[in-house]
Amino acid sequence: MTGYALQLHEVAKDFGAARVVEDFSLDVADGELIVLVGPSGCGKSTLLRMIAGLEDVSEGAVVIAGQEMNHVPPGRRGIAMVFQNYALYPHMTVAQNMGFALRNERLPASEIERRVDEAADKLKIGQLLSRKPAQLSGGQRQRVAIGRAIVREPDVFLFDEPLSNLDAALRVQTRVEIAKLHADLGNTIIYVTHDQVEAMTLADRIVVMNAGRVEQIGTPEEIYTRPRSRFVAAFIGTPMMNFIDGRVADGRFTSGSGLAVALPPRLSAADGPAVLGIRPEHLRIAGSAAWEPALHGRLQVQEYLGERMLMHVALDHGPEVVATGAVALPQDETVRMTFDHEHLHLFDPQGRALGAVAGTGAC
Amino acid sequence: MAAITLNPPARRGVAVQSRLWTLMTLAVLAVIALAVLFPFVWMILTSFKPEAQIAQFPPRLMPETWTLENYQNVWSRIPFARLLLNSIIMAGGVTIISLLLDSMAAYALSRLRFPGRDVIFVAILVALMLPFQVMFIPLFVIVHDLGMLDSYSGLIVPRATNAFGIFLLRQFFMTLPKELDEAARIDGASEFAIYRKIILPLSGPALATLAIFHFMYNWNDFLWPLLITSSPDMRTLPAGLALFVGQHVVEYGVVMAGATLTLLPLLVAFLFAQRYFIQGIAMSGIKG
Ligand SMILES: Nc1ncnc2c1ncn2[C@@H]1O[C@H](COP(=O)(O)OP(=O)(O)OP(=O)(O)O)[C@@H](O)[C@H]1O
Ligand SMILES: [Mg+2]
Repeated sequence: MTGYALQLHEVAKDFGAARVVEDFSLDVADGELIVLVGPSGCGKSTLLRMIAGLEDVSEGAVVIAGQEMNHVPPGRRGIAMVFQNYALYPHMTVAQNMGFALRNERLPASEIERRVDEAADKLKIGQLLSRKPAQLSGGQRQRVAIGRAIVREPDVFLFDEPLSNLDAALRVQTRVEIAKLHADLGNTIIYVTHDQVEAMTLADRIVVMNAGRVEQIGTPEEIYTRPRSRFVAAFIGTPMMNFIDGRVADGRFTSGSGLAVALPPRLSAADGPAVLGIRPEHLRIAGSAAWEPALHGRLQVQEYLGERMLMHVALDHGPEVVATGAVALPQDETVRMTFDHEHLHLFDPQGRALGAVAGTGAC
Repeated sequence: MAAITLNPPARRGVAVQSRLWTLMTLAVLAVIALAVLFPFVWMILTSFKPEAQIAQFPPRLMPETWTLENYQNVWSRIPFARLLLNSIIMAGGVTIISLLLDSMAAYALSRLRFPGRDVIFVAILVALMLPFQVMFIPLFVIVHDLGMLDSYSGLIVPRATNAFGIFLLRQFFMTLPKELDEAARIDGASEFAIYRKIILPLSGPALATLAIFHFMYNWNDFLWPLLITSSPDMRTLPAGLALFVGQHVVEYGVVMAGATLTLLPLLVAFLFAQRYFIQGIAMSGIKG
């Protein structure tokens, strides 16, 4: 045993001439919940299907529980998968759906029944066992699909956007249940989603993918506070991080239109063209003048979100940015926005992060 | 009429118009149905006429005197029970075997990736367009060389799979979501288990439709059984009835009685399977 439930070594996938996954490496510890996020078409499903064995890998190796699996059929990889559209067998009852894999393993009927009942109890679908999938609601189908995966007691669970067909309330509820189930069973899970909240709340580690490559791997906090590229910074966080184009010289960031910001020491070593980034929640509308660094602008639109307000502000010397405010202000009001130096991000023109943000010395 | 269509009609006008439309549709359908049914009615009534009334001129639809003589003739002059059995063996055998082989071929064409798959599919489409008349002489020669003339295998084997069946089932299988087989594959199902436990159970209507097509076609088929069998004991019903068609005289009454008897089992089977049949046609998107 390596202690890793799943390892991907420089995995690549070609569809004809198109390379859709490239040089993908990842080590997943036993019991870890990894969330794969990335824009549509970046290769998340393809990667998951390669782990499952539904697609061949073009290069590299898939290792599950210490064993190379490149040529092992899906049924013998010790994995279970929950599909986005559930893929329940329409002609079988819930119990038959959940027991199908065990019947294929030729387990005795009593053992199958015991394991199906146990999983059904855990998911509270015991009363549905004799129904057909067509007689279930979307949320119930989702549970059955999860149940079908659980009964197999796999080494690794694969989820491909399992909640995307549910309505908002059910999504939150099921998300919490998946988290509980994970805490309860301690399974290794690879979870693909579009939904940032799902990613941030569920993940032990998040893998941000872009165009078939790993953009960054890290805990939700690392990904959020220390994005390694402009892509990750823009992809994670709603509303999106504000970006201001300009250049750095002598420890100051200046934009062409006359904006100037003094940079903290960790960023001041940079030189030349750069992009300044700051998240809306770190850009606060400030009331009275203070000695902190500040940006000035004119209020365009304000959005009331309950616990806070999003202020769209056109900078006096620069683009429109989104900031956070506590109280409503008159339209077109001139506002002053303060921020902490530790929350500033700086990217080079290729999109790589410059310097480290607050606290750690990560690259 | 024109006024109704040109001016935006009031709500009552719409109702009248749509009822008119329904009536017209029904009338047209009734005419078509009559045209289709008429030969059958003629056949059945003729089977109850004495020979003298059949060829009379001008022809009359209803028999002047009703007789069962033709039916007695069918029973006594050809081994009717044996022919019935032969028909059941041929049509039934072909139906069962070709459903099996058609569905396996369709599974391979819709689910497996292998070199030459598309070429094979095109070849099957081409075969679909070849009329039987083009093929029956070479087929006869092959069956002869295999020593299968005048036997059940000669009747059944050449029909054991067919392009139309493969095509129909392939198209149906293509509509079944791929995720189902993938889920089954992950659940450890073998290729055969996916075919047997996932694809086939979900294809009930398409299989029933095809079963009826196969059964009807082979039950009614005349030319092939006539060519391939020589002894009266090996004939199917339609081919056996040909015994009443002499070179100079045709015994219409007996033929009509035989044809009526041949039709009956089919009618019963159809009534039973009608629900599936219509569902299957709707699902596979082919028109009856
Ligand atoms: N069977 C295939 N043949 C050819 N190209 C494919 C195939 N499957 C996927 N692709 C391509 O591979 C790329 C990655 O697809 P994939 O489904 O993995 O994306 P994804 O990240 O899951 O997207 P989404 O978030 O929309 O589900 C896409 O450009 C897609 O067009
Ligand atoms: Mg996907």
